Amino acid sequence: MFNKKIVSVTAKFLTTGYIMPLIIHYSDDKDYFIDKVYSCKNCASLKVGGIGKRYDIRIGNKRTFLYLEDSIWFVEEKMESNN
Amino acid sequence: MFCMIVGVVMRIIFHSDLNNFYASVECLYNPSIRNDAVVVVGDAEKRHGIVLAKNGLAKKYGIKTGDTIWEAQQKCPTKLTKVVARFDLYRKVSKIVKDIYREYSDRVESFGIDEAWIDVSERVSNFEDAYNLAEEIRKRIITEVGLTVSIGVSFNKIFAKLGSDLKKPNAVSVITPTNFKQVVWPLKCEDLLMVGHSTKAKLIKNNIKTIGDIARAGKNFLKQILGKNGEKLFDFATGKECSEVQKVGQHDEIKSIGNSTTCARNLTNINEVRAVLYVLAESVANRMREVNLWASCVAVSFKTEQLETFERQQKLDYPTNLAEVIGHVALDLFKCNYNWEYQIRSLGVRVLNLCDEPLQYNIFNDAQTILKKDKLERIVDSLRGRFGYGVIRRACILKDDMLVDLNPQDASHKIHPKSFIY
Ligand SMILES: [Mg+2]
Repeated sequence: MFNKKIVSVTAKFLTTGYIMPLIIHYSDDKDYFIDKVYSCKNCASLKVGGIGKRYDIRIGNKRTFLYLEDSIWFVEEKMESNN
Repeated sequence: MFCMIVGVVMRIIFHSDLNNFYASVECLYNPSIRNDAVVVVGDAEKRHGIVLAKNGLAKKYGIKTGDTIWEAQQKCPTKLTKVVARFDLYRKVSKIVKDIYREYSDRVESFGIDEAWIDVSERVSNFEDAYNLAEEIRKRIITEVGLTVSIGVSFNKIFAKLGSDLKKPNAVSVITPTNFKQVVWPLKCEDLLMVGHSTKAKLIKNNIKTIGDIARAGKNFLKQILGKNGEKLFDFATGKECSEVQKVGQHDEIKSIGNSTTCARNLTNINEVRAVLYVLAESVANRMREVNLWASCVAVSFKTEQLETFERQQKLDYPTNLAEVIGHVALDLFKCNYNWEYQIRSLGVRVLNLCDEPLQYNIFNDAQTILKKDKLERIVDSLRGRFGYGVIRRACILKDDMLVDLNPQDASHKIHPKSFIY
């Protein structure tokens, strides 16, 4: 199960028009610094539902996706299964 | 690059149709309902809300577009998921998809919110390459938009559209000059664009059941039983249809549709104004149906013999494409805004705030009545297409033949189509 987790993001708007995400503010006391962006593609998120730009990113040694739809950022948050 | 077939330049045209569009968008955005039978409704609170769209599972239960919510519930008593339509979202997604099409061609013609023709003649020159290109588009839409399309690939718009209906969902079908007799001709005559109930009835009466039967009946015979439309149908069935893919809905979506006229003589009373406004309204409504659009604002413009001009607009409670509504609102606007100080020299009717769908019309009006009127007006369109504009007129127009003896769709007449904004 996945949850659509809307997050706030600090990003840099490059002169080319490209939007480079830098920090994901996951919760009040948790910021994730993005170490590398591998790619940015138009992509739908089937896991949580959405259509936008999908950033393929690395945080520390973990790879994950960060999405930008219109001006809303979200991630596919993995939910713990109860059973 | 064009490909040549016996010395004739052949076009390659796609017709792409998003499968179960509204319901698919809802299922994409709400993963938890993806395995349910889903219907999209105008407004779940209203008793006479109707089903605007359904997903594959709801279809299996026999639920149809236009069913009332209550009927749908009867067909699927266990678990039917109802979601209220979000037209802004559908428009957004539709634009994303059509922008993908436009990466492949500048000739993209929207047909409603979820369908479009794409002329790719300049990109591919044979059907093998065309198939691969259509596959590429189909796969891109799955990855980038999360939706499936059915694409028909052919050498004219009619067969391309037929092709997109052959395999659903999520498939590409190719109809070529060499296979169309095997693929298209066995299909029922009503599968052809423009064959409605009355045309079908006439065809069946003459023992014409399939598209192949239409082709074999011959142009002359079809003309005898169906008039002008018969000739058209013959061209459709034999692959001779050759209309262009229009660049409709590109960057400049149609913002308004209008028509105006300078009258043969000045108008002196409201009955004359009414007659002219209704003629104009009919030509505007006809045009709207051709491009599959509804409007939620009507504007009337008029010029006095002193050459003063006025324009007044009125928002509607619900979108319409009916001449009757447009004419009525235009007349009301005129009545409320003019005191007959001078005679009237020219009149114009324009509709704006155009949309692809009759948004939630069921809330404000009895859907059945509107659908019936829409059908009636389409019948009028088709009669006029067959027998000429004069064959049917509104009672109010009949009163003064001299005043309104004009065909608003024919530029050679007195109506000036300059206010058709495209
Ligand atoms: Mg469709």
